[in-house]
Amino acid sequence: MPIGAIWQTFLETPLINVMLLLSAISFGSYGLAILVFTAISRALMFPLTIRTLNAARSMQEMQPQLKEIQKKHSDPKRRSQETMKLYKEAGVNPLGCLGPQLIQFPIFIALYQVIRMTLGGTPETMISLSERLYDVEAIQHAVPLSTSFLWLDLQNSGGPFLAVLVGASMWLQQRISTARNIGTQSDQQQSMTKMMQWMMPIMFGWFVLTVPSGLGIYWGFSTIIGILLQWQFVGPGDFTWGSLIPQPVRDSLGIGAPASKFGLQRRDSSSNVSPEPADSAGDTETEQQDASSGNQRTDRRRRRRSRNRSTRSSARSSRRRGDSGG
Amino acid sequence: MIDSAVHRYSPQRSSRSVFHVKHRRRIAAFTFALLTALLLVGCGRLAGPEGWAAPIAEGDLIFVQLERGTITAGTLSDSGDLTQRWHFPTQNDDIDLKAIYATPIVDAGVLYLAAFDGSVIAIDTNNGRPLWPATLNVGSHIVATPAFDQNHLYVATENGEIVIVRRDIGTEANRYFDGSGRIWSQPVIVGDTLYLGEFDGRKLAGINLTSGSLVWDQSLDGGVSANLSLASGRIIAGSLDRTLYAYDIARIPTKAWTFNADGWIVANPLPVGNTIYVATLGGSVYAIDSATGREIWKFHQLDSDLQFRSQPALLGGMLVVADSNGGLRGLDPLTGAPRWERDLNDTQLLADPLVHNSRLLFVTRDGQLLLVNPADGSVIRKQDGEA
Repeated sequence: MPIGAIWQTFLETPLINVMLLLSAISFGSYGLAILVFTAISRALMFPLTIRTLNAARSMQEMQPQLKEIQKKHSDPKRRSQETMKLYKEAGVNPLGCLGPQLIQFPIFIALYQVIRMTLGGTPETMISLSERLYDVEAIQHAVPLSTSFLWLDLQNSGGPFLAVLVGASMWLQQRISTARNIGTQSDQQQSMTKMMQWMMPIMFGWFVLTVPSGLGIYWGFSTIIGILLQWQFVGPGDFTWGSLIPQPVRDSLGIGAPASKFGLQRRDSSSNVSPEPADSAGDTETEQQDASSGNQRTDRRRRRRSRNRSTRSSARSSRRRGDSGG
Repeated sequence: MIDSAVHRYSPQRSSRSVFHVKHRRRIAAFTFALLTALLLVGCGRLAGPEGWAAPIAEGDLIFVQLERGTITAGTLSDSGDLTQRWHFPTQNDDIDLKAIYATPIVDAGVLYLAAFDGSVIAIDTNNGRPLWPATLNVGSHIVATPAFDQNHLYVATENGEIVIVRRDIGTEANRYFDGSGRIWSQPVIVGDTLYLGEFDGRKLAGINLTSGSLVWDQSLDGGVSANLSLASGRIIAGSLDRTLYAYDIARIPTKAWTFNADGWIVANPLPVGNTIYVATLGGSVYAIDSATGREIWKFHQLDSDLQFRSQPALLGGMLVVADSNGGLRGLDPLTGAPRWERDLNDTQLLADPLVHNSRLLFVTRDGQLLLVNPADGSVIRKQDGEA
């Protein structure tokens, strides 16, 4: 079976019918159907997402060991080997976070096709669509779909507001997820991370300007769900809302500067993560308050998880020693 | 944790981990290749507008869209050869009509074109040159064939507007806005009321042509894509809700009957006497009593994926239907029994046929001309280049 047929039969056609059914259920609103679909797809990917988030948390907890390796070994090859060993020992896959992204990628492309096909501007598209519909009354009656949702025309570009919304949510997600790893990165890696933190939102913001707004809604809502999950299960890292205030505004309000160039450093006295010495410029009471206010919400939960995880890790190590010994 | 990992380091483990790394790299490379292929497959389809304007004729001259957005005029011999007189637009015209869905209107030596790009143009059928001082653009896509009377064209647009165009000088006389979305079906004029079917709005409406006010509307479960037609003093409308509607329009329109079909009704119904022939995207052809809405017969070929987009044609005592995938069938108009069948699998038939000199003229999606003898289904096929 050619790849085009596989794509159509197993992904595109079912997705077309799912979207039309959701539209019928969502009071004929295709925009609402896209939101529902996003929520469902994120729910289906939740096991994978939670695995990724656990990996992220483990990475966060390994920061002191990683730093130690970096201090201990100057040879990059040796350092890399030791780092990989550490990851393996802790059962962490540093590329694990790519899983949900990779799964979302074909869904994103398929949804792009589905939106173009279901909201298709030409009569030929409607004929093509009719060939793809299951013989279910609710699906058959869903066409033609309503193309308007809120202020958007779903088959046209979402315009600057949606682009900014998607870009900002992506930036925030990047910001939360990269901040926790930044401490162990070299200057080159840090600048790369910082560049990516800006490049990805800009790139997706540009995408939103060029593709139907329905796709922008999917991506924006999916990102917001991702942020919420990350916040809930991993915590915001060293991110605080206060760190979003630009430096000139901070100066004028007399708040002071963020603790590091990537934001305020996290103070976590209870976990096995050693407190990072903050830069002198940011070591103020206000920043500490900012940092703690951003993290206190999740600290208790994190401590509990950390204890559980340490217990599990020790048990696993013991088992392995037993295995190798036996 | 690090110490224990170092302690357990061994060459065997190392080779195993190298294998794992290689294995993972292969999986990663395969995944990347697969995703790239999916990206190419996913983003590389969906054609733009092509248009399915039906051919029309005035005397010996036929007008047909052989290429996307271009009308060709010529005479057709019995052997199916088209002798071209002119085509519009030419390269010098510097116009891109994009596609033509609306069947052109020809009247008194003038051909009126309403193109997908929103252009409305009057062309002299003798020389193929525009008659109006300037091309009128209504500012929205046009799919529906315009309605017309002696003085005006009534152009329904994808914005849900009815633009009234003066036939003599090509200026906009008025514009009525309904605002419910796309209109794809040809309106009909009865007295001073223009009846239209809305695609996105899922309704039928009547507009007073003098005042532009809405005099009647009726919500439907599905959008209307097929042209409205008149039969026995009733408006006949096929819908995507698989229903054919008939409304009496003697005074205030009232529902006369509805008929439930097995698929979207996109093909234009064909009223002939007291019978309405209608074909569906569900692959069935029906003969319906226009007075009662009762089914007279139904043709449906089992285990097939037929789709009928083009209007059936009745000629020489044979009802000819063309399915989208190039199948031609001759049916007995009284019983629906199949008489002959031809499969042209390598082409698509979306445009309505033209009755021309006791033959049916079809234009395929890729611009070929088919002359079909309705009696036996024999087909003369000409490429657009030969024609």
